[in-house]
Amino acid sequence: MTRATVEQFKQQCKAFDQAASTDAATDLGQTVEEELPLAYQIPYETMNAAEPSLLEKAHTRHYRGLWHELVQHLTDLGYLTEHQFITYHKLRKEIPDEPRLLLPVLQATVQYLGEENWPLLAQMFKGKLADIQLPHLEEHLGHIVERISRYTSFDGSLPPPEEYQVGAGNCYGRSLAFRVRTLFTLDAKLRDVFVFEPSHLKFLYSFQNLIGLKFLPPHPQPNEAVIPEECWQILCDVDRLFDRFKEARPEGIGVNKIVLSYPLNAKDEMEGDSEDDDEGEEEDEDKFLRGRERRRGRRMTKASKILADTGYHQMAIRILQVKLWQTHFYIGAVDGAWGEVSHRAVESLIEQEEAILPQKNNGKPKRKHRLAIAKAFFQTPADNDGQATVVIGFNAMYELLQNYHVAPRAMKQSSTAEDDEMATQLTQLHKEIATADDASGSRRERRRNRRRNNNEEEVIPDEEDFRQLDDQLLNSDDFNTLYPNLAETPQRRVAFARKSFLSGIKRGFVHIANWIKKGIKKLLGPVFGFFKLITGKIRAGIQQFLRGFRYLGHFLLGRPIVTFGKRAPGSDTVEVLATKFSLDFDGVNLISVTAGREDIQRHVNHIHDMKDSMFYFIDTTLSIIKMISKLAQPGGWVLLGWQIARMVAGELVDVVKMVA
Amino acid sequence: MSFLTDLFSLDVITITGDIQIKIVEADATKREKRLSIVDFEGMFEKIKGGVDSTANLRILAATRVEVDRDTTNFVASNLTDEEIPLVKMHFEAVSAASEGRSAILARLKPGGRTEVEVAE
Repeated sequence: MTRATVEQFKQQCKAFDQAASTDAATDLGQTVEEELPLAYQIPYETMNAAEPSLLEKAHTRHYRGLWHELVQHLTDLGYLTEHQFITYHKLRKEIPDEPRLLLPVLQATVQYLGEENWPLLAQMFKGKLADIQLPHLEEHLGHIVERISRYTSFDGSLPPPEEYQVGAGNCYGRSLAFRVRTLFTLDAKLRDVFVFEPSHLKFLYSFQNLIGLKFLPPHPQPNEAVIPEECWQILCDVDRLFDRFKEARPEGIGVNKIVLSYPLNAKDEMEGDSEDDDEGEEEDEDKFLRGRERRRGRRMTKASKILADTGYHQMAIRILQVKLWQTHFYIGAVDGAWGEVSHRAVESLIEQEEAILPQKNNGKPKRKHRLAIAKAFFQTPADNDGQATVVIGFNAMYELLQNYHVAPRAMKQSSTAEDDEMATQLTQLHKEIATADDASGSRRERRRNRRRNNNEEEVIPDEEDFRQLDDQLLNSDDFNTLYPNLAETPQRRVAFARKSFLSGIKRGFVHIANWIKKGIKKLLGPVFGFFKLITGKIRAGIQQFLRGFRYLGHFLLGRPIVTFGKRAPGSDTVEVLATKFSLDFDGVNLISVTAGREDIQRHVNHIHDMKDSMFYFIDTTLSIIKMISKLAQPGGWVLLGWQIARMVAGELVDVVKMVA
Repeated sequence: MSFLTDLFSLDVITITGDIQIKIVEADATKREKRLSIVDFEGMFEKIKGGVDSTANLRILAATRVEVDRDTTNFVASNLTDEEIPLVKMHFEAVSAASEGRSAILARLKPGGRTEVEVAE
């Protein structure tokens, strides 16, 4: 097929070249626009190269992640059962070879789309929803996941419904049930409730009482109950909920007194701490710091007992779990139970914070930053049994997490605008297709027909390579950390950085900047030392050169070199040691007989220094004269530069040897 | 001609005696330049002192090195312990003078190379 198309293309080019007729142009255009893209489009056949992709407007995700997310959202909203969820994850690696395994997901998605009020849907899928097949779903997977994720997200991206009656079995009813289940109910019976019913209104009443608001009517008629917009906003935006939650704290309790404390087996940490104790110079500061941290810890532990075992405390944990989940530190269930997974999430957050904070030369964070972190997370030193107590300040912890995820409140407004833009784009696209295509149908349909008509033997040679590539991507272990073994822990959530991507990049840059700053600090020491050695050597050379000049002058003028002895305490005389060399180096030493050994040695050194410096001066001067004389030769400047470079290199080698 | 004749031999003589300089208070700052070369007269004027010598000078050692390296050394007899280091210093001066002369001759020789060139 490929070769035939290429050959056809060549012949049509030749025909067009020989006679640029309308027919030849039409044939060539058809080949280039319709036939060639079928074989050469990149990367997937479903991504039509000739048409603008809908996925371009969606947040970027990888293919496998899109399916995982869709399954998670469908399960959260009750379109898929827990059993189906587990089965999907057990068999997910076989899906590339057996796409039929996705049929339950397809059915659940069709059910979801049937309940969805989405104007774009009619343009995405022509005909009945029941006729949607996997290729259709795959083609619009990005937008569907983006759309359904609004019902389970807590970033304010779900706008309040225009028309929703409590008990309606649509997406909003399911979303409300999910939020009630996740955020604030303590009733285990609600675990399997996936549509919010009028009988569940009592939970919303207890919720509004908890956060100190009165948005629900006092005595509603069950069949006419409407959830106010303010309630929706708080339920859909965890930041807004937390703000309201803080304001509704019990009287007399400060914001920083909303704390959680729990015991921890910390034998390992205890050993690590004991190593730190040996660091000597930092010991005093550490003791001081630990003292302040201990006092703070005691205060926080005491404060945690005030709210322990209250509904308010339970909700605080859930809010914190949601925020940790949003920022990808937590992948467990939002269930109000603070266990090991939650602890690890907080620990990894603190580790990351400590890593990006400005550090002192010893690699530890500055005191004020350590204290700031201690406000959010504090672990008491372990006792003899290795038991420590961890105290978490909710407000401080939440503020730390805000650095990683800021909910875009403008999303509500922009989502509508984005939908409009997409709708316009789709309408225009379909108009163009309808105009351009003849009675035989659109390009897409022709391509699908072609695909249907192709049997196994007609698979193009490169397609196998693409299939293998797809398999490698889909089964890559690189994504395992993102999507752990959900088959064993179905309540865990998959998380995708929907809105925190830029925040993550920003934090990453801070991390990199600190790393570079630290590296430069480490590098500057040796670099300055190296330059100090070089400049020291240059300075010594210049000094010797000038000294040699003076010695030579005195030598030529017949002046002696004189060394004075050390003056004895209380004496008003000094010993004199003098040596005079004539031009032929005949020498006369005039030495005081009472000169000490030390004075004599200094005078000997003086004589040698005179000799060395004088010849250093003579040699350097002669070299300079010789080098200058070479300038007259062709390329003299180059030669001079070369000689100077060799001299400098030789000096540098000496310096390096000295350093080594 | 006498200069050339003198070039054939290297004479170093060491004379010792009670040679001291009287210091007045002004010397405190000047003495920092002890190791620099100064002429006697100028120096004596600057420090406002004077050479105080008993004029009881004597030759402690003398050395003559001929052009063929034949060497004649004269060392005074009955050396005291204090004078032994002076004799050693004398031979250091001989060594320095010998090296200095050789170096000068090496540089005066046609095609003679400087230390910089040798290093290259």
